[in-house]
Amino acid sequence: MKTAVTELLGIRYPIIQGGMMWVGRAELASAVSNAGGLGILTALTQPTPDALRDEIERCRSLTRAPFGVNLTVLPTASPPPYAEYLQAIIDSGVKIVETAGNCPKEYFDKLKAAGIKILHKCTSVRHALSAERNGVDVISIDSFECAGHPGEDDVGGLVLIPAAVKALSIPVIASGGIADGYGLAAALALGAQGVNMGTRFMLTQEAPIHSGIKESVVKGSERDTVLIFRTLKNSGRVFKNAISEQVVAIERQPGGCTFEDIRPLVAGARGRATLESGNVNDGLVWASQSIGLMNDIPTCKELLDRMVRECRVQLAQAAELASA
Amino acid sequence: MFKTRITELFGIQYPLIQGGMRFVSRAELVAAVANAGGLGFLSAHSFPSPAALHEEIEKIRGLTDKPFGVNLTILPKLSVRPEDSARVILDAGITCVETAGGNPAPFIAAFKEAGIKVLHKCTAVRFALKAQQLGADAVSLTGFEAAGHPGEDYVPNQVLIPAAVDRLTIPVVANGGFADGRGLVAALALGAEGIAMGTRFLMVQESPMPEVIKARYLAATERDTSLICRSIGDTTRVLRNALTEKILELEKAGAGHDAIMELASSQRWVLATERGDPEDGAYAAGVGVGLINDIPTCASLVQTIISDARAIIDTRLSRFVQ
Repeated sequence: MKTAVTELLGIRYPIIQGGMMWVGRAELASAVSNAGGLGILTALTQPTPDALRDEIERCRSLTRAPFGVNLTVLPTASPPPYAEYLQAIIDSGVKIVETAGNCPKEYFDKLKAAGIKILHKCTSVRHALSAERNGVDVISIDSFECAGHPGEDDVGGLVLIPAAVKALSIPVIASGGIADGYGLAAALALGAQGVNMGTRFMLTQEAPIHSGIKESVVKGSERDTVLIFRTLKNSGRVFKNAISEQVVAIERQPGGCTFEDIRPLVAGARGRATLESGNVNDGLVWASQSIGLMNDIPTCKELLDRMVRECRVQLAQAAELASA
Repeated sequence: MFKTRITELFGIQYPLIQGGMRFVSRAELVAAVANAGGLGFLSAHSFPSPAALHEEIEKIRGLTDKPFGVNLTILPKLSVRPEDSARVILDAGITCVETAGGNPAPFIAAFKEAGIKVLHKCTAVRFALKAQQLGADAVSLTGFEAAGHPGEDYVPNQVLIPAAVDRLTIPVVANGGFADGRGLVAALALGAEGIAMGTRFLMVQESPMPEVIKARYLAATERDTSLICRSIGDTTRVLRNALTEKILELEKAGAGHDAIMELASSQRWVLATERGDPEDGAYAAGVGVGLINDIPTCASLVQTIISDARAIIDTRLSRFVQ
């Protein structure tokens, strides 16, 4: 399936596995790339820039197809050494990077100088336009349905994708709420040149998390996610479980809450431990509304082959209905 | 032509539906949609009496010989009880009904017996399954993007439509966030067999909204709608303006139902419309308002949507089909 994105990245299918903390490791990224999509390692899942260098080498030993690295830059009290992670990526010779968050222009410039293609993930047209001006190659537009941070605009992909495509001149990848060939076909119809998925890849055989988490999340319907951190203007979509319901309850208390009030519930280390323990109620598990469309835990190859098949069938059917 | 189970069911040329809009979908608009090859629904709850509804139906018949329908919104405290509107629908020999707002159970049997095709509009898969079980011929699934009442689940159509299609056997119409040919093709790709649009049909020449209000819709982007009445369990998507900001402040301060509804009521926006004041009413608007850049005639809108959809399928998408 040739699109502007497959051509630019040198991949077979316009399907990308977006960065995911604790999930985006070599096992998964290489499986996606071997299946014809683009796998992406998540830089900050590695404890140090050197560990990231090793992980990139490990991924290379598992696939000869292109893969990328995600670098998410968030404002925190004690930031990780972003510049050193960036240097590790550049030194490793990886040719595709997914950026997210508040990535400084200086980082974009360094990546471009190294001949690296930049996919920038953002949640609104105005942020996309700003990234385009800063020289990124592709925008991954992340809509309200997505796992993680959908922004505060609450615009679903159905409107956000065409709005972004119209405003931008660089290619757009649709991200959020996509889990199958139906969603891929719809995204292409709306003008996207590919799709990005996180949760769907978290629920594959190769995702390096405990199978108990996969089995719990796959049972969820489209109504089984909640938005936390809404009151802190940093909305995050997670699986509905004991912890996320507790967070929302604390946020709803009269007078609201501060981050300190919920920190013990939402700490990254706790989320990581949950993914490893397999007990879905131990901590936050990030998940998209598209879990309502997932009924199995396939291999990446099964998933991608099926998506492409479904997409072709749906588009052929649409063509038939339109020409009747 | 364009053929889906929805066009077959309602005997229409294109799978484009103008969903019921209180006080907006009146005879001129409904007839214009019908004449353009789509299906327009007259909103029964716009009228002060059963006789006035009957008169409007006759007016449509004077304007078109194509199929059209009546929207029956099932809510308490309407000026005309839904039972009385249903009686008019049956007596007038209407052939298509869009039920919405509440449980259609008390009405479906009588409609079906009269040979009326029933499209039930609802906001969640579980309600759609219920409608199917009750005998509805099709459902119109309302995504989070929709104007008016998108429900309390907040699931956009990109997920809601395939989730519904997977579990239903009757055909699905997608509504909420649709405004153009791209959306129509996306809906078909997601498994829907038609789209319903409100805000897009409010923004046509034949809609009775005054120019000054339409100008406000035209200027809006996808970020210019607000969800009001969340705090009283009746989430409503409207165009953001001075009044809706005030409503949100009241809600934040914990105001009660009556204080909120005094500002959010339909009476208020109807009066503001008459005065031509875009700031003093809670005007229903979908997120798709951000995709609307013109005020065409219905005929021109329908033709553009259909020709754009075909062009997308034939040029951009055909290369993916092998």
